Amino acid sequence: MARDQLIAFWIAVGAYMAAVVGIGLWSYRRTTKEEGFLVAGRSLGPIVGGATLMANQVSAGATIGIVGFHYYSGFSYAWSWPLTWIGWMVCALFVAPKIRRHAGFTLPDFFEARYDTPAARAVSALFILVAYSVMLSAQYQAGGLLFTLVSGISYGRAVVLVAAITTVYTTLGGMYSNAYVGLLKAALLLAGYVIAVPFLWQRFDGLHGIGVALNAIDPRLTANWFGWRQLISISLAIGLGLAAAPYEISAIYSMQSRRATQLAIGWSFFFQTFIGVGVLIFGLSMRVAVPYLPDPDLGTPMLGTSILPFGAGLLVLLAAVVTFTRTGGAILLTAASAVSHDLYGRLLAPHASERAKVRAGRLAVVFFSAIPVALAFRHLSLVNFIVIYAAKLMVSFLFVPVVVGLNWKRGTGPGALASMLGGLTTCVVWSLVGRPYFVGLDPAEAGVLVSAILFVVVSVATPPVGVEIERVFFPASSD
Amino acid sequence: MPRTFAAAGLAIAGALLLVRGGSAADAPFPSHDVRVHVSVGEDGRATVNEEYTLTAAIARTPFQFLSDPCAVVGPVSGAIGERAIDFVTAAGSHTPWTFLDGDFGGAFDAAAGALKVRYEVHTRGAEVVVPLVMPATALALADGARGARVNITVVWTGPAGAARVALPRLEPATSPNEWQADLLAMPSSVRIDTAPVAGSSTCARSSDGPTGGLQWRFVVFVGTMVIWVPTYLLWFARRWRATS
Repeated sequence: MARDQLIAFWIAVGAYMAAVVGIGLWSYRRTTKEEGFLVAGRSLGPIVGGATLMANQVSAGATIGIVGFHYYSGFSYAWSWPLTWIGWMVCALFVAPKIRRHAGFTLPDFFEARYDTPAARAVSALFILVAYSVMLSAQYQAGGLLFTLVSGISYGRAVVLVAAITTVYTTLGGMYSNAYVGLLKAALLLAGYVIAVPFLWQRFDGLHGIGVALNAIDPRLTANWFGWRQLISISLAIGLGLAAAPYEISAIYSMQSRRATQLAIGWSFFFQTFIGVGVLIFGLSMRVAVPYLPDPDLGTPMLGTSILPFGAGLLVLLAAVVTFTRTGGAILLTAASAVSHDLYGRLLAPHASERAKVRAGRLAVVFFSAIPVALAFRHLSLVNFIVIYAAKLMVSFLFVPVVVGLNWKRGTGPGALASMLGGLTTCVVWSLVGRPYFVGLDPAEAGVLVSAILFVVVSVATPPVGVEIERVFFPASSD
Repeated sequence: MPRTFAAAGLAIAGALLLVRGGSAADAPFPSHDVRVHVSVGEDGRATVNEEYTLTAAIARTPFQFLSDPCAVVGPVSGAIGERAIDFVTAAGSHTPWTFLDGDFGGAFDAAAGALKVRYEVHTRGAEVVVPLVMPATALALADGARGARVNITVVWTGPAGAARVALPRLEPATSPNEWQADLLAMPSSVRIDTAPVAGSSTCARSSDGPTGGLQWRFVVFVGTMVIWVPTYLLWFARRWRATS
């Protein structure tokens, strides 16, 4: 990148950080209470809420990782967007309206309230720390690659810089910042993609030109690199994982009402449509423009620095920066709340003041920002592979106790614990077997199956939860 | 309990390493330092000189370029040191990609210096597309870098201000008719917008060949999402109106 363009890039990143700090300071006065820091005072309407849900989901896994996936595997992975929406429909119909009946802050709050056992809170909080370290490392890795390519600094320094920016971002604002920066992220993504896609379309003779060039490289690039079996298992792992994802549950707790939550899911579909088309065209065009990238994850950084005109390239790069800091922020916030709210505030120091809990949350952000840096240094795999693996762990651990637990009142605490640990262990063991579709099942499918069986069997074998709990989560049947 | 989490952590790391191990690529072309010089005239004729500094032995290596309906490439000649190399079109080329077999007549070691490739491209139309001949594999990584160092220079020999490099993004160099940039991989072409010259030939750019159904798949994909979003919003808005 030329020197003046590099300066413009850092000015844009600085302006973005200044905007975040501004929103953070503005919201700082509103976040003296835990309800403000963790769930934005339950104030989000459908559009800001939709941008928040989208901004949580569309991580660097999408703006950098999925572009890389399209680069090396072609068109078929695009179907993961609408297939993932099956998970969002499950969320809209069976999770969001029911979980909003309970005025919690975090997913572990829900577990303790629904299953009447602090053990469920502790286990889920610890799982969040492990799984989200993996997920956060993908954000740092993507950001590190981008900063390395744009500015020429070493990958290690770039990862530390990304971690620092994400930490400052999250420490200052909590969920208020996250919500409004989510809207900024949606605007930047839409603007960048609306300018960049027509440019690439025109330069490469539209889909016809791209299709002819890709089909000649490998016919699977324009058809089915991934078969439907693979696409469905990957998409359901991501989609159903999102239906029970801790940061999406925190976002749902941040909405004004159940109506706002369900409409927000629709608005997130609207934003995702643009982004899904954008990352698809980016990945396919880059394969034609630069057929032999050393690493598919370099597709977006090289698109922004060397292919698109300066203005459009800057927007795409900035949108990627906003993406990994914003999603990194949401992940950090969730991990921090697992420490400050669930482990410290509820289990270790239940009489701590609101101020002390907010301070613990900010300290936890700083502490847990550092752990994934070590993973990102190792550059474990393609960004999107890491995101998919974290999603598989998430769905195996959380889907059954959250979704089935919200809709089947016979579910019990021991059943939920057995389901969480059994599902997670099965998913990990299945992955270690190393053979795709061992016994015909993907690791996430095996994990969810075992999780469901354990949940039902152990729940039926143990005493049901109390009437008070039924009244909160199943009002129609108990009233 | 801590033991369970430690085991799970190790398993996760192991599984991720398995994924990484499974994505091995072809052996890279033994050069991470490449210079590409493209000189384009007002008549649409371009001369391309490429120089690959070799870092290891090189034997038979396929090269390729992305044909353009408005450009004719060739002949392509090459040399390593004093020894000339013939590039001939390979039998298995898939339009629009043309593959070239470099007949090196035996292996060269890195001490041979650099592989030089030279060819001309005759183009038609206001958008000059100059396909670049490149190794049919990724370039080696430069030390401590995420890619190779490909220096591209484009020189326009026509009237000043009558041309602009559109792709890849190059920066103005010492003269107003010269642009250059460092990239981390070889681009498939250089695209230059030129002012139309009276009497010059025009060219309708449309690639021939099958798209593998990409267009209809794209329409179904976008159509699914475009229909679903308003359907969902209207459905839930109506549900909430009915309940209130």
